[in-house]
Amino acid sequence: MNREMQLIRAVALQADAISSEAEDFGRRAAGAITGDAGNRQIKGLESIAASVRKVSDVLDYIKRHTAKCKKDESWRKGDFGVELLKFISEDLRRRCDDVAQQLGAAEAERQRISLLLIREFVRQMAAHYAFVPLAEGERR
Amino acid sequence: MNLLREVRERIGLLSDGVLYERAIEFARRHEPVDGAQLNGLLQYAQEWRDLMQFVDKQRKRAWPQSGRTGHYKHFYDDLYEALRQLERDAAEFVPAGLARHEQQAQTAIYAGLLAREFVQHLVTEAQLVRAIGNIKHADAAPTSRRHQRREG
Repeated sequence: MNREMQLIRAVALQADAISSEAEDFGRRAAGAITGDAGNRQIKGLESIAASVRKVSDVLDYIKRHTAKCKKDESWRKGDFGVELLKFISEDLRRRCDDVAQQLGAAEAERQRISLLLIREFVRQMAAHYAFVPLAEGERR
Repeated sequence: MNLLREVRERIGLLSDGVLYERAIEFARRHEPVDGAQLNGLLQYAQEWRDLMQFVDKQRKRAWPQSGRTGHYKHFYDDLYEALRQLERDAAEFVPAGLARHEQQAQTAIYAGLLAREFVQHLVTEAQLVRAIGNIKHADAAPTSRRHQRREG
């Protein structure tokens, strides 16, 4: 198996392992970040995660949106934004560390592993965010 | 790899590593300035010289020592030093053997690129601190190896 395939496989395994967390965050986001503006913000997060070259751009996006909200509203409802930040910068980072160690990744490759895993997590979270209202028969 | 791509990658790694760490630490150690000051920083961070002039001007202002601006001088004094450190870091990007003016011009370009990243992280963290207070972050940058070393 070539290096790229090894990397993608290792990230995919980690992504499978965090699917229940992605579902949980997606459900919480659906309850907190509502309306057309909410939809756009979650799509924006997905788009940022898919396009940027730095993990910190994703974290900064979450911080900006969390900081803009009033207490107990939207990204701050149930501490959603802060807990999402912590999940990405602690739990996901730990998983990236494991993959990087396992593959003996250098710094640039390590950054790529982090981005790939965050992308996958955010993609799953956004899918659950979109699905929850449909499943509950609600219209946003 | 061409030079531009190599520089962009190096700056990207520094941004996710040491610059993010420094910005979080700076925001934790300093009470934030108000939103207008933070927006000013973001705006001036597009150009290195403008940013340095802005921060230098702000640190020399006669801020009232009491009330909500009591800590502003300290904030800007320390920010000025943090930016000077970035300028020293930027010198490592500049090839040796250039004429002095070329060396200064290139250092300013790289310092500007580093400062843009640092200020972006600092401002977003400060906005979050202003909104909800200090939060417990992981104490290393998103792709830092510090976490891994500590466990090892």
